[in-house]
Amino acid sequence: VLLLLAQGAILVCVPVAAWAAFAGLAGGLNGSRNLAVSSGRGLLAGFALTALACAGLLKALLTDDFRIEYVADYSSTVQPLLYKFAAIWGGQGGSLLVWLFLIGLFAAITVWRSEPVPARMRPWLFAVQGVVMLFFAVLVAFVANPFVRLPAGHVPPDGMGLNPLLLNPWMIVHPPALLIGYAATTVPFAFAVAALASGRLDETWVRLARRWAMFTFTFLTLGIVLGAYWAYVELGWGGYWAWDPVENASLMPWLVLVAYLHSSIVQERRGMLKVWNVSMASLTFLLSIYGTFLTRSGIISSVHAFAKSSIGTWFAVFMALTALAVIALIVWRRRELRGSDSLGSFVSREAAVWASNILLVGTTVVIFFLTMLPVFSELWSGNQMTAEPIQFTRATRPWFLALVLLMGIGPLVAWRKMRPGRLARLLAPHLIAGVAFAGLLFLLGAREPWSLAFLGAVAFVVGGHAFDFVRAVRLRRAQRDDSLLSAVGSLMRHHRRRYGGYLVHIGVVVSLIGIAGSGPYTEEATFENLQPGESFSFAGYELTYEGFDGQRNPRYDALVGHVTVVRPGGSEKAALRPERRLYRRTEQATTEVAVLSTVVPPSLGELARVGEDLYLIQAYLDNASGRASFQLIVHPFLNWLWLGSLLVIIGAHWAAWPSRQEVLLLFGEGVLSEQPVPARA
Amino acid sequence: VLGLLVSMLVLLVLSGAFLIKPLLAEEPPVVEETAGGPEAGRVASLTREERRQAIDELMWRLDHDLATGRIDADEHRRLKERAEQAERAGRGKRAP
Repeated sequence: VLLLLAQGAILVCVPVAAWAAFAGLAGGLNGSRNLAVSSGRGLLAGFALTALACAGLLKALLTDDFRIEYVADYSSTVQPLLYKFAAIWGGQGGSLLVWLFLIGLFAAITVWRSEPVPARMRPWLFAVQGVVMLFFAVLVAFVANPFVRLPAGHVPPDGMGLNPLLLNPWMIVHPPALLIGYAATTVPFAFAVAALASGRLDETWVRLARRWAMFTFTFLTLGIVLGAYWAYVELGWGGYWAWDPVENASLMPWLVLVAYLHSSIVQERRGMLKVWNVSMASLTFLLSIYGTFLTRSGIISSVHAFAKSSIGTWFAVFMALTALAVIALIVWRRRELRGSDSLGSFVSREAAVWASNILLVGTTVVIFFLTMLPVFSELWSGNQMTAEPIQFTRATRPWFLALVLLMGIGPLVAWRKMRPGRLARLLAPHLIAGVAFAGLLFLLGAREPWSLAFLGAVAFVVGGHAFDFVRAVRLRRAQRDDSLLSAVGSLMRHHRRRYGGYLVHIGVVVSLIGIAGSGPYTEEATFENLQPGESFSFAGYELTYEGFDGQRNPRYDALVGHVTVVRPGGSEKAALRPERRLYRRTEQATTEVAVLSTVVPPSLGELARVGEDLYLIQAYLDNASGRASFQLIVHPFLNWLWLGSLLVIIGAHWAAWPSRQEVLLLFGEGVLSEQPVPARA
Repeated sequence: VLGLLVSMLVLLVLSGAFLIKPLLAEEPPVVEETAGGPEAGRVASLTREERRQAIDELMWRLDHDLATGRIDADEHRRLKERAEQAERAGRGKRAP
């Protein structure tokens, strides 16, 4: 019964979402509150129907109902329970259904929390979400329906199971995190379009969308980082980022969203950048759709090519129509979109934010161009050219370096205008600290110029932020006689937006230590034809190949190498178990790498190894003789990348939830914004 | 197929009733929107003490921004006046 209801629910979701869109549109045009309420109910009903559909598909997956083609393709009787659950986003139909469910969930929350939304903006807000829900409902119902049944007599006794590459714990959380991020981009986009359509183009929509934008940022960051970590531990090529088209497709909306998060502050505070902000919110949404278009269309080959299908055309048409609609609305509202003020001075916070936006969008354009190079080159010359990862790195690093430097300058610059001399005096000590740090690294043997430049910039940013924070703590202690701890605590508590933002910046530069410190200084070697018991050393590590054992799992056969390692300067032995697996049903071989991370080095002399990884790949193992070959990679500082990412997520979460007092402080009473302070009787 | 049709019919009727119900009600009168933004509701829920603390924090922040050069003396004076205006507006408010 649940399966029938689920199948029916996804078909009924189409007219329900169409009604939500239509009623919202009609309500927006004629000002009917009842139509707006009905539109909101359409979104709530759409959410309930998609939840029902998800429940039905999950039940089919968990009970091995191989009558359903999707279940037969992505699950199997021997698949562990957690991966049966994860199979709901393992294939195209399922992942689109989850996306639709998330769109419904977020739409339902906006309906539930719609009281602060101005009445004339509300129907448009619902209408936009209804349109997006309708698009995905049509896809799930008619193009990639996960409930398609196999003809009687063709039902297999067991399913194919998930692609072995997806059988990794991180793959249980990476796709939903990214899907949550992608689906959540709908809400800021809906607010932007609702503001355009309703003509309520003041700071209201930006404030209403802010928490959603922060939420989206948190999940996109999480999705990207988890994807990188999965690539690092599962794909077995020794890296975490290959500038793969689909990786790029997740990075691009992230970059544009970061631009929006900064430029929206300028609109909140100064009423400026109105066209820019609606464009950035819309572009973030469009780029999230573009990611799926890239994955599903097969237009460019990628590690995600297993997801290839003809559905890309649908996404391309939807993207084009959406972009046209937004452009038309911007042109229609061009008079109202004029900012309340012009950029007064080039030495001001507004100018710094503007520059950071140009750099972020510029970086996105560069990545977009290089990602699409095979398509563009084929259209231009008939020959397909592909940009290599190193070309992406070379093309983007000047942009990223400029962004990092701006990150150190922006928070210290005054709003409206600042004397250049004053800014120079403020920045000089941090700039000197940055140069000195890079110089020290040079003396210690670091020679790669870009890495030195980035690490110097890291010191500059940390210096500026730390200086400002210490000064704030001192002022607080002097004025209020607080202890150090309570001064820090109350600062963080009462000014969450500012210091949450600082934490995000610090997280970004900590990640940069991992990126700039590991990339050029990675060491790699292969040790071939080793006999059991044979020892070898690499980059200060002492390793012994002890032997191997063969393991038989219900799904695969594995050859597990046994290697013991002693860290540089240490004496304790650690055991590593690199594997090669052969999945019997698909005859697909995978590599399971073994990683030894150093959090606390064995001695002070090895302090530079904090965050270092020894990455061990079993390149070859002869079952008969026991001889083996291993590939070893040492990634210095790499774990700083994961630590920094964690700080970014914590900081974003902190900044997204300002205290009630801070809400009042910043904008509730309009003290810091340009709008008049509302009179109270 | 029959089972699917029945399930669709049931869901369609339930959803339809849910969607149409607000349309049968009388259209509420249009309420003039006032300034104050989305936070107005949250701000109104502050107690007098919380409000005082909030203004204190704002004053502290303005002093800090002046000390670190984020705002100049003119901007500092202007924003302090606005904060005081907000504080005066809040004094007349009855604490919940």
